[in-house]
Amino acid sequence: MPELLRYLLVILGVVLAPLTIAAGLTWGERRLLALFQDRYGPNRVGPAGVLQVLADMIKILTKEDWVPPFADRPVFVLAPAIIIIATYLSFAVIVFAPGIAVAELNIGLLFFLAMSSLSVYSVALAGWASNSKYALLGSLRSIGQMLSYEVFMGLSLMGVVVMAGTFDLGAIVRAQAGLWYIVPQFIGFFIFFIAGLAETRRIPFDLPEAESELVAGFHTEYSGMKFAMFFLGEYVAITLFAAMLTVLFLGGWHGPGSQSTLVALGWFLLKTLALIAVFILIRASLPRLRYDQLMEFGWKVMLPLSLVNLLVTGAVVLWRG
Amino acid sequence: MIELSAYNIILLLLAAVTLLGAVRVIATRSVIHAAFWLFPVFAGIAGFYLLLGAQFLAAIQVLIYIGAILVLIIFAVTLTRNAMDSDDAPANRFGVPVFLAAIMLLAAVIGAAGHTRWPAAFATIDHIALAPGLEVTGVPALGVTLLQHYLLPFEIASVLLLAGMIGAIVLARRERPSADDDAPADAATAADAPQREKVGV
Amino acid sequence: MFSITGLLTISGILFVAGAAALITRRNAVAALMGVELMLNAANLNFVAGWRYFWPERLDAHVAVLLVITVAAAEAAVGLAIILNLYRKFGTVDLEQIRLMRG
Repeated sequence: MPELLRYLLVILGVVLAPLTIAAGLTWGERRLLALFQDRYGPNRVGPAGVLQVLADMIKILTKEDWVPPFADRPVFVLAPAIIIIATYLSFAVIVFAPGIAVAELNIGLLFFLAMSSLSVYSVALAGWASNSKYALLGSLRSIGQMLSYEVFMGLSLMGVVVMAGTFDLGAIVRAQAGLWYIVPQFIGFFIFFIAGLAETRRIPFDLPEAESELVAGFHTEYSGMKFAMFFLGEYVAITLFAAMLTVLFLGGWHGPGSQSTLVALGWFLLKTLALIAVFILIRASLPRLRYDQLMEFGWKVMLPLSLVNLLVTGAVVLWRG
Repeated sequence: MIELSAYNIILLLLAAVTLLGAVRVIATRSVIHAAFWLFPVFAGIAGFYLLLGAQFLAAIQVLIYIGAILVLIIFAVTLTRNAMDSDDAPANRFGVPVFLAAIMLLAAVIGAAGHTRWPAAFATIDHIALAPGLEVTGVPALGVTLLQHYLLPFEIASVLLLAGMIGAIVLARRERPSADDDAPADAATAADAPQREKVGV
Repeated sequence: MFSITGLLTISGILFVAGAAALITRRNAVAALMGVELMLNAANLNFVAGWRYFWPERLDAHVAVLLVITVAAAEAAVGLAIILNLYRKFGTVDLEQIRLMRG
């Protein structure tokens, strides 16, 4: 296959795959939640309700695309786009299988951290532009939460960087050929997982949109396709974090069986989907935290834990030479 | 004068975006919009770092400047939202003299840069890749430089950060009437402490 | 080719814009933004100097990292001070915040 064609195919796949998974999740999450809670979930449209995705899409596209007159219009429109752009850009550096990546940067991990720090903006801008108190309160909560959890999200990954000796995601996966980093870096895995939950504002940490107190938080004023962008952005972000967890801790494409690219991609997909299922299971089983609990947990438990993890990892790596 | 290679066109576009942002930052009335205009400035600078071959610094620029400092600024503007109506004159009475002085300073800076005789061999670049043998921009080399030649500044910077963090907490913390002090605020950071205040604002 | 003069001009404009914002803006947060602009201009100069004159040494990178560190600390403390001012005076207008004169 010519090199350029292959590259274009990779780009197309990287663009389409997360979108497909995210769209599928709008159905899959409800089905899984129903399963965990002993209900049926959406099962009417198509086989097992799969076509619910399509039905939802048609519904949301035919809704009125309304911008409140009191809103700051350009910013209001920009905010939902940012969340999709910021999360999508991160997929560019993920190495799905040997040679299957849009750009294998030598600062790939830093690029991911930088891009995920951008997604704060969509929430901040949405809250500001909506010009309503629930949106503002939700976005202020969310900025505090995401900034705080970003700190040790980065720190928790430094253990992996120390062990692999590089920020290059491909090299990190190759370094896990013998032993997945989830074993020596279990604390890092745990912290990054929780930080991922907080960054995607999933349920134990969904204070920015706590519907019982803030209506819908920062996207209270959004409707139609703009609201769907936030919704989809959350699912794309979940997919991103699952993929990053796979790359950093679960050995990426490594797995038993043949070494062909297709099998490698299959392993990657399997691990990612399994992690997404865990994300949904957590949503089904945990209650929402209080805001001060969230902050205390972050700064008093997770931050020291990630620092200790980094210190011990560094010491062990030095000691082994 | 400037040859129009792809590299140069990208640099010029970056320069245009950065400078437009900078001008809007000082000229925009509404403070929150001025803060939004800082985004293209910081992003443009990150782009310059990238094109000049300092990828690590570009990532750090996005991570710290855009991801943390600018967010904090927007946060502060949001918190003090009603403090100044955007109809208020944004500039004080020094506006005109400062503008003139700025123009003169700018002329001096550009003049100085233009009149300096740069060593001819280094005066221009036209591609991203460094010459072979000069590829020391890797993160490990930077780490070695930082922790061997510049250990003292590094440690001082760490202490400064710690002092800054504690200072921000102490400053932003509200004196409470002590009784219902269920959640001690000392776990909070600069980002967190104003957050608690928000309930009362 | 893109000469170093061009880069220095860009950073010069950024610096002057930042200084003007720092002096003329009446909103304290906006003045702080001016400081950030000036720091960024200085950083751009460091990187330009590194790239054109000493690409084999990383001192400029260290300088930029330290400046960014200082900028982060400055932003945190500065914004905390501004919040305090807001609480005390009910405004962040630098013209109206005065204790020394009536």
